[in-house]
Amino acid sequence: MGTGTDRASEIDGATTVLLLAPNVQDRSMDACARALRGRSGRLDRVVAVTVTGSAADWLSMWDRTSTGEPKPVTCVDVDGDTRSAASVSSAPSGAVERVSDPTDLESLGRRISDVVQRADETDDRVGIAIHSLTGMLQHVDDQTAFKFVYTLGEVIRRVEGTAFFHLDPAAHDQETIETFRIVCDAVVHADRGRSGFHRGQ
Amino acid sequence: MTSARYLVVVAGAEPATTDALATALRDDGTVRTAYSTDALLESLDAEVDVVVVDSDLPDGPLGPLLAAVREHDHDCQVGVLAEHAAVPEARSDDVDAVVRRDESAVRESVEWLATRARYRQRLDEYYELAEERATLSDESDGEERKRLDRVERQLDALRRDLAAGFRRLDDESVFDAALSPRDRSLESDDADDADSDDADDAGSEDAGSEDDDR
Repeated sequence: MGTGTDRASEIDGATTVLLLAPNVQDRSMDACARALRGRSGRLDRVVAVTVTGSAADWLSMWDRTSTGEPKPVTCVDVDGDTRSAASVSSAPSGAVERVSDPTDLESLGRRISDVVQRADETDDRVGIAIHSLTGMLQHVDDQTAFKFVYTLGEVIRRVEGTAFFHLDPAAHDQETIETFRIVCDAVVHADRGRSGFHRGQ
Repeated sequence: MTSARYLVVVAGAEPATTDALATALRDDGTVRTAYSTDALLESLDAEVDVVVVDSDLPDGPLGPLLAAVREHDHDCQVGVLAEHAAVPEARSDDVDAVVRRDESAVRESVEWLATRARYRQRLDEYYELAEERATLSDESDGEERKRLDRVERQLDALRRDLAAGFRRLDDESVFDAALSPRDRSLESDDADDADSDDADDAGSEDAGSEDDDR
């Protein structure tokens, strides 16, 4: 279960990775964390974009599962008025930025880009987890999300980072999964332990 | 992406000034000119990448005219020629750039707006092609295999084109170019206000002209 270090290393050259994992309890969040930690080479900062679940949940999970020196984390929390501000203020560690409208992917993209640029200015290598694309697709159509994934991916490529986009395969039809596979450099099936490149990599 | 010629509409009440700008822009793209609000709206079609409107074009406020341009449902980038950086009477979603009335500034801005327009268009094409690819099996043969190979080649070409366009845009504007306004085809209250009475305050009946060297 999950993407182990060896399997993740198979997609080390990828900038954008579609991470397929069931959204059951903490398994999808855990899969994102494992994917980020499994990324070999230097990773100085983690950015978690929390659409499904809260920033507090993410930061708590990250602290709980960290071994050794934890990486600095910035959460970009897409609240959508479904979660209370108190849940963020109770977060155990890490910085939290807020985007209130889950349909406004332009603002979300710019906010993530700001965080990534600040990290790049200090020469930090950034890993990003979008948790999750499935949650995002409850608010916007496939085409809008597709354009967001491509554009954010190019922003991350510019700073030589890595982005993992979580999708729950049980929540989407095969063509939707395939469409998002095409826009990413590689795909990881967390449950099947299968990973690989495409897009001519 | 950037080497492709673009189609721009330059609209201003003063024909000599408008023509001078059009001449400057013809090195890089195809240009239509319009000297009235009517001519501007008539010149719009799906081929137009960029519209440059002088803020002095309408007799009244500029906002209704810009809303009318958006209401035409052709996805293009809109620049406004003005003395100041903001166009207070217009909705921010209706203006992609405010440009000084300076030839080199206009050329630079039009190039940038055209890159944004092409990035939007190519992203839409990329999604449509990815959707098509998603219906095709890797195990296909015969005609379907040929179709698969064709789609893959088109996807590769689009990725190269998109990457080239992305490199010319900064992170701040690229999300705006890709995703904003969220749905320009949606009618808004403001757009509804932009009826023909508001937009028909043309100073002249000069027909737009087009240099068809695209």
